[in-house]
Amino acid sequence: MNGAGVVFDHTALLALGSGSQLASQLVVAAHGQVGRHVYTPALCLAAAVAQRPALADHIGALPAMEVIELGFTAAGSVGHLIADGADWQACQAIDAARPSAEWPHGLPVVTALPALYRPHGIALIPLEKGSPGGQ
Amino acid sequence: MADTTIKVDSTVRDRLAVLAAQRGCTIRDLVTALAEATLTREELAARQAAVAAYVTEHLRPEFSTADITAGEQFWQELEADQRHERKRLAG
Repeated sequence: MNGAGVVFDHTALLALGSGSQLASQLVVAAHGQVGRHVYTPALCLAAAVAQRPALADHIGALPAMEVIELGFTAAGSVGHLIADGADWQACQAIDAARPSAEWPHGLPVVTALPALYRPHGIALIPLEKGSPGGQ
Repeated sequence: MADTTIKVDSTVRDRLAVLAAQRGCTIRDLVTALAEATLTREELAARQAAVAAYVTEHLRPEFSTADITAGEQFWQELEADQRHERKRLAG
């Protein structure tokens, strides 16, 4: 696939909802060109909305934010990650970031909690300190 | 609305035929859907302006044009990195 993409995890969604500068820069600029993908795993969205219910309406208002549904294959991968001790809120982001047919080099995860992903060898785009849930 | 003809390479026509068959539609339907679903540069600019206004109103009141420039630079660097990775993996 041409273009570029990132995965927003639950902490990135919460940061966007709280006015993070980097998160808002990424999201607004993604709307200005075709081929820029801001993927939002459904589980990450659910985890973020549980903490900040109004967030769902904001994400729904941003057309370049593409929600990744949790289908059969991803549900299996997420289940294995949870069984291995990963935080369930991050598991679908880990799965979405791994190399795939569509993105053979994988995708970076935008997050305020990089430590969640380091054991999984995922590329990261850390949000600024002071983001909700951040360092 | 009057019909018109578009000339394309025969390999492109063949590919369009396969894509249309797999979607259960005609090449005409496929090309129409592509034209309707793909935003023009002006439509993209309008979409970005609307999203910037939304973010300013609801999420980050201090959002500015400098933030759009910074975001644009971020995406350009990411596109270059991911293009490089695709080439590297393609060998």
